[in-house]
Amino acid sequence: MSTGLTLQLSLRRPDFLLDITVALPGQGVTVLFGPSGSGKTTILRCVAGLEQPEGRVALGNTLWQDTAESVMVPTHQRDLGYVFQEASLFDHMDVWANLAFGVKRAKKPGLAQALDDAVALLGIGHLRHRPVHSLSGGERQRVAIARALAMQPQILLLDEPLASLDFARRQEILPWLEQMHKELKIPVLYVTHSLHELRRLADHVVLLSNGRVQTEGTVPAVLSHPTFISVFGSEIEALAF
Amino acid sequence: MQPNGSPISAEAWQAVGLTIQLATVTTVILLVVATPLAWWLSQTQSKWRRPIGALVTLPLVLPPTVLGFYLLMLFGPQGWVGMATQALGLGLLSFTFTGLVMGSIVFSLPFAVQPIQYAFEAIGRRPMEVAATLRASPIDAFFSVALPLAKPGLVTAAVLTFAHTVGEFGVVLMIGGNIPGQTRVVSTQIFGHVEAMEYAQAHWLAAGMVVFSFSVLVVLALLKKRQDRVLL
Repeated sequence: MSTGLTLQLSLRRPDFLLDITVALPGQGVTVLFGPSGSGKTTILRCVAGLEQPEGRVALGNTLWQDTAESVMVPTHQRDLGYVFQEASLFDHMDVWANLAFGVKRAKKPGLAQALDDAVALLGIGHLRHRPVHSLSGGERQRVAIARALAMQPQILLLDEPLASLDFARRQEILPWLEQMHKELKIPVLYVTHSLHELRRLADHVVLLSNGRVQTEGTVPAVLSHPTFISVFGSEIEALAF
Repeated sequence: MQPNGSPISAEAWQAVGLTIQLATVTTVILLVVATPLAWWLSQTQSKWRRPIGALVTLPLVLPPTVLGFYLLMLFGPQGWVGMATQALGLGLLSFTFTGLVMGSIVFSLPFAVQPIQYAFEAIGRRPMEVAATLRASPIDAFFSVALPLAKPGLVTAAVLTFAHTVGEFGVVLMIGGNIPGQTRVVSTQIFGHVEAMEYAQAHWLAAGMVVFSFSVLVVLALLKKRQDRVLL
């Protein structure tokens, strides 16, 4: 599994302890699933280098962090795409400048084509020259996803990209995400506490609670795992319909 | 009254010109100095944050005469700055335009730093994190994201610094010495007119200052309104 993401993280906060060791597949969508406060977003931030945990982060043969060897690659030198939970577009730029921001800095060949592809994949070509504040919540998230995707990163990190949207907007974006899932060859780490999104997008699931990995595996394996039922039993009933 | 019948003397016009010059130079230098300082204050978790923040705010609460007095001592032949400028062959800064600029920079420091600092704080960490995930180095992100987003704060800082420097009196009198053409600005010119019982001329300049200050506040309010609309 030399293409996968290996994580060994330990982060202590006054009210929270994250302590995980996990090796994730190098392709497909891995969903980090768990209740609020289980450490899903913190893991994503550790992968991106936005937090300073103890431990080790490696994607394939690329080492991003190893506190034992004093290695800590800064975020802007990690070849990743990150989509934040709420709209994170730059308000002082139009849609096109937002999309081009990362592409201009990534300094890889063929990104102009990648940007066109990402724009087509997420269906946002008609928004190019719009100011950011005129977009709907769903359009903003599609632009943010395309912006991350266009850099052709080695891994795509999505932090509850639908959580800030209402039901109708979620239904509008999910097909785009499924489309992306089908066409994309890079690994995706997807944080959610929605069972609905997990069912539609996940290839692999990591079940978290209280900062620890409870179990991981394929969707059916995790959903039928006794821990899943004991930890999330009541939430499933709320989310499953 | 002046021989040509103008209510404002040639000397007073000179003071107006000097005031504008002083305020412009002070504003430009102060924006360059205050922006990194405001950025540091908005981002740091250092234990020095509060003491430095208090030091920056000090000119806001100190009587200008106190500030002027210490600057005069500092610029004088026995002061550190005075000794340094003399050693460099620049002479003394007290009673010169350069000295006045330096005094004004200290005097208006909080008016420049605070609006910029608040603007940086209002942006929060998220846009800088987003920029980092899009391959922008910290310096790149500062210029391409933080600075443009803080533009309203920078504009407010510039307007306030300019207006505050125009309205400065105590510091100017202490370290400037009220020399016509060199350190005599509008506020000290008015003082001179009143001392000489030239009330008509004092009126013209004083009324000019009122109109100027009122206009500045109106412009600030309009800018603020426009920002609010952009944010919606």
